[in-house]
Amino acid sequence: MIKYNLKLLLYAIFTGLVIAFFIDWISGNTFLEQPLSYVFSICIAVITSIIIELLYIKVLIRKHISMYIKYISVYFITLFVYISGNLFFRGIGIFLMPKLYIFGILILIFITPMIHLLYKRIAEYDRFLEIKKDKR
Amino acid sequence: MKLGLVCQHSTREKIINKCKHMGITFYNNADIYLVEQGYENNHIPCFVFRSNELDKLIQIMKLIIPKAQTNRIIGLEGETYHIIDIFDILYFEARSSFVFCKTKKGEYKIKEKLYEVEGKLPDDQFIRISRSFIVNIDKVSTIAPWFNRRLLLTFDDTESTVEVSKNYVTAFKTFLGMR
Repeated sequence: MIKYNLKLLLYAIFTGLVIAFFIDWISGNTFLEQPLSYVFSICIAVITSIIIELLYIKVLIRKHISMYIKYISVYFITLFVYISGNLFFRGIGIFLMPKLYIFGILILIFITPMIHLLYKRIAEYDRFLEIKKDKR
Repeated sequence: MKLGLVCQHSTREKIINKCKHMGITFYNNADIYLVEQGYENNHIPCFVFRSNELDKLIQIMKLIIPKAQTNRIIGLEGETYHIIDIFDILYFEARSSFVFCKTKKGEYKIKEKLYEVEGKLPDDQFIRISRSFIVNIDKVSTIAPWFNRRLLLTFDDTESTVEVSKNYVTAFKTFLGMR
């Protein structure tokens, strides 16, 4: 798990850098003109990856937690990351733009079948696990 | 050699109690069966016994199973040695040149190497899932997809998670009967 966490950290740093580069590129800024924004971008990516990992391990794959709580927590974390990222890069004026809400809803619509697919796979493993336990 | 037991429920309990100290585990899919008279159907090869001659049966079992798979392991926690029932173990882990076994109650250091422990465990219950881990499938609660085509296992009554490494995923799926 330590090896995995280090890998995850590296991926998160890389993702943060790529996002900051991408934002500079679409905004027409010179790369590394504001180094602090790269640092913030990396921080957001690292914190997000840690939250997602914890959410996955502590909530999503646990049997005793209800599906309702699982879906709500995924939506909540996704919206939190989406809105805080937008706030950081575009400022408070973003709340006046309808596209913030449209993209937010689209993201939620996109992740719902992904959660469903994850549970389908977990349910399949679970079925074989129970068969294996019963056979013994 | 795996041993099966086919008999009435009451007889089964008596035999299991008598066998406890012998470290014998009974399996559903066994190499040889001990079958109570009248229950012989489809359990071949088998030894047939009468329910009123259990002591005789135990004597014979001692002779035919000189090396049964162990169901107890000695583990060290701090300065204290503990006898741990293998059915209580969640997993074995090789870490910094020692082997540890994890139960719901705690973690114990084991004297043997991981491959030595592996040889002593029932192979339809314990499975190697990486170079450093052997898990007890009965204690696994969830199997979930994980980063880079691996699997993540969670256990009953504990927050522990263990990763099935990429090289062992196929063997693990075969073990579960998925392939």
